[in-house]
Order: sequence, then C-alpha cells, then structure tokens
Amino acid sequence: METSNSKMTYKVLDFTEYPGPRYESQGDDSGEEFYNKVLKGLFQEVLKRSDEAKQTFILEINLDDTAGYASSFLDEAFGNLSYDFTEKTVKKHLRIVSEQEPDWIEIIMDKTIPEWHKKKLNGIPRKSESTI
Amino acid sequence: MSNNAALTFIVGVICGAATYFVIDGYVFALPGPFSTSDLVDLSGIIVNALIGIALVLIIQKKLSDDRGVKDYFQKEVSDIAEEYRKFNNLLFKGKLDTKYAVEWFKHISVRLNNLETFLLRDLRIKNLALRATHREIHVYVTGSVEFNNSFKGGFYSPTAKTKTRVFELYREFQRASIEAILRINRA
Repeated sequence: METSNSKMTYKVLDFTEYPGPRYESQGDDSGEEFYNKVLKGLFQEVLKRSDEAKQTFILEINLDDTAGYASSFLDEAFGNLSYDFTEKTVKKHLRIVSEQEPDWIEIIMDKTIPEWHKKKLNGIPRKSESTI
Repeated sequence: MSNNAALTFIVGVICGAATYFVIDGYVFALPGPFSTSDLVDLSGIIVNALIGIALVLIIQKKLSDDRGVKDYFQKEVSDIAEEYRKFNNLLFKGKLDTKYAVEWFKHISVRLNNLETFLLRDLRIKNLALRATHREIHVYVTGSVEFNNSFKGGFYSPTAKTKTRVFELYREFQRASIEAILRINRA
C-alpha cells in the first residue's frame, strides 16, 4: 500500500494473486473476505483522513496483475462498500485503476455501486437468495 | 537520327552547350545555348519523374504493408474465435475448471482490449462488439451461483438456463467476429 498527501493506493495483488468467489463459504480469497479484511478498513481510513485534513482523500484500488476476476468477487467487494457508505460517498473517495481490464472500472462505478445503493435503500439484505 | 547524333543532342541539352549538331550529314542549329530557366525546367521534369517512380514504389509497399497488418488482425480475430469455441466446448460438457476459466477470461479480455485499441488506431475501426460481448459472457458466467459454488474444486457445471444464455451470447460473439473480419478487409 502506498500513501501520499491526497491518495492511498492499494493493489488487490497484495491481498491475493487468485481472487476467488463471492462468499467466504464458497472458497478462499473471496470478495466478501476482501471487503471485510481490506477494503472496508482502507475506506474508513480514507474518510477519517479526509475529515482530519478537511480535503478529499482518495482510495485508489488497482486491479491489475492478478490472475483475473470472477465478476461476483468485484460485485461483492465494491457492492458492500456502497451498501455501507452510500453511492455518493464511495464515488467521491474511490478510484478504480486497471490497464489490463479497464472494462471493470465502468462496471463497478456505473453498475455495481448504484445497484447496491438501491438495494440498501429498498431494504433488500446484502445476501439475497439469488446470490447464495 | 544516328545514335551519336542523339547522344550529342541529349548531352548538349543537359549541359546547355550543344548549339549545333549533325544528323545524317545535315547540320542543325539550336537557338543559342540553353538558359538557366530551361535547365531548371528540365531538372524539374527529371526530378518529378523520379518522385513519381518513388511514389509508385512507396504506395506499392504501403499497400503490401497494410495487407500484412490486416492479415495479422484478421488472424487474431480468428484465433480468439477458435479459443472461444474450445472454451465453450468445455463449458457445455461440464468440464470447465473454475480457476482456469477466470484466467482464460482475463487472457481473452487483454487480447481483445489490445486488438480493439490497435484497430481503432491503425485502421480506424471502432464500435466492434467483440469486447463488449466477451465482457457480457464473462460477467454472466462468473457471476452465476453455480460457478461460485465450484471454486472449492471440481468442474463448473452450468444449469440449463445458463447454457441457453451463454449460447445466445456466444452466437453474438461469433457474429461480431465475422463482422470484425469483414470490416478489417474493407478498411
């Protein structure tokens, strides 16, 4: 992880080379585990620093150099972020980087994050039957 | 005109010094030595002729180079389509390893990303559906419950519903491949 005056950068590769399934119960290095052990804490830290410095601090997540992703890994990790911190806050403080698979950026920012935010607003639990 | 007379004339023209020359015993006179502007005109004609020849050679080479580039791009599309055929064969037979599938999807994503980037840059071909369709298949397959449930081991065994949808998307990918090859050819 790298930190500058306005940005904290984290590579998913530092979590695992082989990102796994959606839930911890489905296998190792899941999206759920990544969220709970890494992403949530980093985002909280970024919000804390933004608050202290009275400026927008960015969390930059680099997706490159892993073996690849199941879409559900990313959906679970970044969806939970939106579920817990709201779409507006996540979009303000999160930046996704990927030169190898840039399509993920659009999918996460324009689809996953808004969908999970709506899910929260509509009172739908984060683990719906269709994903278990 | 004898060869010597012709040679004398040409050399004279080029040097601007042949005021008189002989053809078959007759003496011909030119109206004084060639002026500088005449020589400039003449050298212009020669240079233009050389440029014309060079252009023909360069254009021929460029056409040949473009064909080579097009052949490469078309082969890449064809190779990816073949990879897709093999992949779907494993998927439909229920012999697809989950971790292999994740790596395969990334491998094809990177290739398609490069392909579409260079097609846009070199042949100005845009709005191909290859990458978008591939991404749709990727998201659909790896987002399914049965796919995630098979991470712990064994092969991924898609449901009938998943197979039907993947087959529809695969047909779209095939159509996109054919369209890409045709557009590369026309570019």
